[in-house]
Amino acid sequence: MSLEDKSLILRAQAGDKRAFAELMRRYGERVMNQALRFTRNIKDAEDLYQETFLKVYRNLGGFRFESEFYTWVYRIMANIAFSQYRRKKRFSYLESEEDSTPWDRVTAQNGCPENPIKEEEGRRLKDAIYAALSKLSAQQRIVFIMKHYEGKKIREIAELLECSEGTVKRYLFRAVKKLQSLLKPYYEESLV
Amino acid sequence: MKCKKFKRGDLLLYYYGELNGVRRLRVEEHVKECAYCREFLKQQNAFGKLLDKDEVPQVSPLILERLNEQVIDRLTEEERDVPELKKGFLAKVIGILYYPMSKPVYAFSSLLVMFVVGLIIGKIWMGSAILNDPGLLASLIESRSEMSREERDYLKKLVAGYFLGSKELEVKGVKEVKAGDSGNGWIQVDFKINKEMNLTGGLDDPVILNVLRYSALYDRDPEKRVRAVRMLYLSKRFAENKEVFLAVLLNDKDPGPRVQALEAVTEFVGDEEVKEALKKVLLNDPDEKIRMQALDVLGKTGDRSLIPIFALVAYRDSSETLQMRAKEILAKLYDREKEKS
Repeated sequence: MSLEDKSLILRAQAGDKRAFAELMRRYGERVMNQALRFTRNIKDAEDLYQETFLKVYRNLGGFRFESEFYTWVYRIMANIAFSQYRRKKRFSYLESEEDSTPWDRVTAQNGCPENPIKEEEGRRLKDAIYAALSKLSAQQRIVFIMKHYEGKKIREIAELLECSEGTVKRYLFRAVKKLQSLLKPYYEESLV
Repeated sequence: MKCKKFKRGDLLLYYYGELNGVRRLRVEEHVKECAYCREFLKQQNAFGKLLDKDEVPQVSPLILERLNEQVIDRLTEEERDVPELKKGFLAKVIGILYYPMSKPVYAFSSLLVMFVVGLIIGKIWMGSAILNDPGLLASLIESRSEMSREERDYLKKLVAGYFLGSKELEVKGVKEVKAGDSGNGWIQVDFKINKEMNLTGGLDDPVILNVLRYSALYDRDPEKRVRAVRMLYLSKRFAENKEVFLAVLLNDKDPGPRVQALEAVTEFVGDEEVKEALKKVLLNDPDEKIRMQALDVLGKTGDRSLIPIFALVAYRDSSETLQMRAKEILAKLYDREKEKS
């Protein structure tokens, strides 16, 4: 952690909201990327982003510089995503698909594609992955993302989400099984 | 054909690098031989590669800036709602008090708890106030128009019973409202606990009997005491009322109640306590008629153990009539003894 970050955190701990705003600017992009990974939906990701930083500020007094600031923020966000959305099972975009924004359309597409057919295939594949991941429950998705994309150990995930390793394994196995059944036609092509 | 040696979960743990040492080696050795597991891991690899095509999206910095501003606005708003939140001990206390109102469900629960606590406190306070203020209680009973007569009478009896031991209750009158001198006649007791009330009940009603006992002992009006003793006598519950009769007989300052009490105990002269009381009356009662009555009652018993008492009366009673009567009784006892021998 840089000295500048440390200074900002100390000032924010003393109630300086401008320092906190600067911290958000520094870590915001990483936090939003993670929120999008967890939620796969811009609307839910924005909610998770804001809830995370609100909780970070409220609990900032408890940050003792024993870990990286982002690790601490990540833990808070994972907990919110895992527990707060537990009852919802899936994030809101599944309930109102019209309002939802598929995550590959979040970013603006500028210019003409070099190879329109390949581009179209790629978009179709991303949509399929998006749809498959969106069919997982919030817990299954969070565990799967932490394991598959972030390479975290199961023990580490269990600690972060404050649950048992057995629970993490259960969510992981179910997620993999469901995703494989949904995406089989796509990856089977490569096996032939 | 499925593999019986390793489960799907074991292979997934292997794929995700969760197996170490011997377990990992065992899977690796097994996969070389098992086509099913090899195929499973091959598919798992393909599946993983497919998911790698998934990209992390980029969100516009403008969106992030907007979100950051909203976060700061919300934090500022929260602090405005609880302005002292960050100032020492008081802030902590306010924070704790504020917390229940931070969400509608908490606020509702808090109000509900406060309402219930208020009810309990109110009930305790009202209860103690009523018990300390008999007038309030009496007014309450009289004013409840929705109560039936039976319910009101029952409450009055409870009240009368409760206040009997205190000096708050004054029995204003006792009258027979039904039946005659039978043991189950209806009695109306008018009493006052700051406010006048009356209650009606049979002579077998414990509250009525208690009020009568109270009246017999403590009523200021001797006529009322006489009437109360008479009613107790009519209740034909000598054992329960004996102490009251004897207390009136020995201690009442007016002769009327004493005479009534003497009549009440006359037929129970065989009772040792009654006999002892009559001896005291015979020797000490200031009223000649009462002493005479006691002398007659005791004389009729023919009890030789009473001879010294009769002798005392015959020798020193201030009334010559009583002396003469005592001598007659002694003579009768002497004759009877002579006949026996």
